[in-house]
Amino acid sequence: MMEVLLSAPMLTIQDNGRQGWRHLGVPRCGMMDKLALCQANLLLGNDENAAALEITSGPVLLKFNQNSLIVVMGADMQTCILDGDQNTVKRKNLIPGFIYALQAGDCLRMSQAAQPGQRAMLMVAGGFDVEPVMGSRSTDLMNGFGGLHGQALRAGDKVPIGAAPAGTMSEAIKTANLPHKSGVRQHSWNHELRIMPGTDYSRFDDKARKYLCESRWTLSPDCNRMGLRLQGEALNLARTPKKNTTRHLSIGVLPGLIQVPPDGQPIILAADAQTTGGYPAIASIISCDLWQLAYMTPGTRIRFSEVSLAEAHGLASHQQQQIQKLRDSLKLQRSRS
Amino acid sequence: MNIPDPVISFVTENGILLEFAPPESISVDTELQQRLCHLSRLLREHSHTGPLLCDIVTAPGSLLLLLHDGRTARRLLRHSETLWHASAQKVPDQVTITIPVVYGGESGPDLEAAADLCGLSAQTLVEKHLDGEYLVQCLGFMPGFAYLAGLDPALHIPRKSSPSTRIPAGSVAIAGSHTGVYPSSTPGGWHVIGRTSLTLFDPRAAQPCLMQPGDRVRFVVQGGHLS
Repeated sequence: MMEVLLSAPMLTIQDNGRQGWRHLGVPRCGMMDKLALCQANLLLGNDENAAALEITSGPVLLKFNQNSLIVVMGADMQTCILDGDQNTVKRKNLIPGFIYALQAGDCLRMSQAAQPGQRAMLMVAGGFDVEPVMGSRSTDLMNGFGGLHGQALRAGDKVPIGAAPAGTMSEAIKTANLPHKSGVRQHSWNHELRIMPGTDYSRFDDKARKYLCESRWTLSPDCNRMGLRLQGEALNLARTPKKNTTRHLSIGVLPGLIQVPPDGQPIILAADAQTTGGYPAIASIISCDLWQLAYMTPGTRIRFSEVSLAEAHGLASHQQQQIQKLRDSLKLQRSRS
Repeated sequence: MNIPDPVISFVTENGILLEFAPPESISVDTELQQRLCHLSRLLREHSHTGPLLCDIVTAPGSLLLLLHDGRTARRLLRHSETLWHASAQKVPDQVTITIPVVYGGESGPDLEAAADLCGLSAQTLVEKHLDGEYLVQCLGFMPGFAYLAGLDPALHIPRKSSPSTRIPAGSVAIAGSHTGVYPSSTPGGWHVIGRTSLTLFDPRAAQPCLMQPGDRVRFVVQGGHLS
């Protein structure tokens, strides 16, 4: 079990999110950087949908009441391991993407990311074992279910840890506090998102279609797990005298969609986005770039570049192949040790 | 009824939007919507299409199909076409849900104001609301929130100019051409005319939502008579 000694806003339990319930209005939720979640789960030998902690701000202090193997990923929060009474630093600056062993009683301290608001992730061998709701352990903050009690974690919360995968623990504890020789690489973000023109692309005027990819966009202070608002030159619908270009009917929407409300300032829908929406959708971020949203904070300058449907499919399958390679090499390593 | 072929577009590389009604239209034909809800169920349950799909979102006049892998789109669309034709032949079993409501007073704080907007007495508004047989057009906005089509045109009024900060769970409300029931407490801009004690959304139940797309809904007065 892990106990939260000191919490910070938006400390939540997340896995891959809820699937198969969108027709009932249930959002997906899940880890913002799903790629990192997948890598960490593979590295620890976990179930690939095991739940981790998403840390949005610091400082956070966590106490582990059992021997545990952990991996931190995402933004570097200068994580350090402290002994039980928090007087001695046992190890400073854990490297993202490597396994560390904690002994029962050890504490983990995570400070603020260099760029506040960028997310980090903490995964433990066995995963955080809260009760799944509608097939997922992800916290749905808007609707108040999932996670530990449908809310962000607070000081005093005790989070159960699942059984560690067989064979990983005993050997690792011997080398306590030393990173294992193998790790996974945290992908570095460049704030360039590849997009595909969307359903309503042709409803926009020429200037809007040109501006979308040629200009830089700044993230507004209005960014959260539901959506990220952008600031830049207004994107307008084409005005044709005969044809009414306004969309009246709502359509199904999903994370990654770029919607444009009447003020012309686009909104990128993120993990907690609702399931239907009425604003025209100019484009969408391709699935293999979605993880970058975890590291975009107010003021971040971003750029879009357009790819075709075929390219998007190719890039998605390339990412899948990379994950498969990691899966295979870790399997090989385990069979040898 | 003659339903034209849908406009098909990729929303993202794994998401296909089938639009059966032009997005400029204001409302959607009931028969079309019923067939869409039926198609969505067929797609989810059919052994050829179910495994390809991770989610289907029903919306007024459209379906959003989310695939595990966008490269199976062609296969999915081929099967969808067959199922779409099949959906015209077979009449689906429709579930009718009855919702008991306490109208007006503390349960429906906006009843009088909504009646004024309609130019009707509160009594007449309630009677017209009770007379309607509604279709669950789709769910959205929040888990379990059903957009119910079939509201008497005399009750079509715009949303409130400033939304209420907190509408309690179970509130029965009207706005535009829809009526609906708020499953959980939330801010909202619809006119609240009554309240039900039924649970509309329970994430821990085997069937989390009382209403599913395509269901029929009737309202009755709780206790049997209007006060």
